[in-house]
Amino acid sequence: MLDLARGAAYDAPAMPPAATATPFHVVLAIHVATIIMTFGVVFARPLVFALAGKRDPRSLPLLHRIEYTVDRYLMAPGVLIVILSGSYLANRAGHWSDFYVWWGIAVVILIGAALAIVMIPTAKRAEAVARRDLRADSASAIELSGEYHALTRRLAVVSAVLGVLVLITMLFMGIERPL
Amino acid sequence: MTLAVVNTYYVVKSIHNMAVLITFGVAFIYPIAFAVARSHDPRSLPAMHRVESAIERTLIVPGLLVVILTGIDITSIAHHWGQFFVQWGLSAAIVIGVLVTIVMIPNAERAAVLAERDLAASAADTVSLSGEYQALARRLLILGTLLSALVLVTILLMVVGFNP
Repeated sequence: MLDLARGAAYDAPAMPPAATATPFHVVLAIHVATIIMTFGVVFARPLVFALAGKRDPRSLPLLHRIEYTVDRYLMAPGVLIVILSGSYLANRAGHWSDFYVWWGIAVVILIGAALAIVMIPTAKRAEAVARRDLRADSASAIELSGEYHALTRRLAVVSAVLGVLVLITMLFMGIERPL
Repeated sequence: MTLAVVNTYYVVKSIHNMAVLITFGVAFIYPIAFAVARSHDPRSLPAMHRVESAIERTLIVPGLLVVILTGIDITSIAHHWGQFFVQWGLSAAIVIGVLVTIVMIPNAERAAVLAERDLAASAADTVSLSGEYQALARRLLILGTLLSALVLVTILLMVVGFNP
């Protein structure tokens, strides 16, 4: 049911005057905070690499190293925490039969797999290729190889797909399970 | 659970949540990014600080504006202006916006200039960063961490406020 008319559309949850933090709230807060810490970086990647590529291409190998370090030490554990805290919440609230729960779990597993299989190895390879290209062009104008551009294109495409999946999931969660 | 009704409130609220994710998520990688830069390629520190200030200028500040405007809209729709978590959230967003604009961006740009100066003065095979740069970088890291902690506290208050 889609009703975007402002006046008639109001269906916001009513607020009681005060609330107390329970274990459910704490786990929900951990779940939401972990999502922000884990998936927020996906949206900064295009900007970071566009800026670095234009202003200081010599920093590209370092940026790829940062990219896979963040994937490995921030995103991979974050994915695990999101799944565990999400499972606890679905269990406590008895929402296992809801579509958004299964969608969310599927998306998070897909992101975890994409990190392990595509993002981390490709970023490592891009770092090595960028270093090689920059060494070859140490004095003259910087010319990055076709291999490097192919690798960064793959990283950008997968990252964009993951970003869209995260936003669609947030839309489902926002509609089905407010906050 | 019954099928949800998609209306203005939920659409704007989803935009609010997405803006929070896109705006604040990137700040959590700063400690990792600068630790990796210092240990593996200190000569890239000026570029890193420039990327930092560019992210804050082109992603965080406009994102904060979207967070505040959508927050005001959903609060008005739901008549939640009397709720503590709304007042806290609005105050936190304004504080973050002011500190990012007045302190973080100028200091990141200053750190880039200082790092560039120190690297130019360093020998080809060694990197020596001045005390002035170290102090500024430490101040940026501490303030960035405090702002990230403020975001996390705000999330906790929102979660408790919205799910009584």
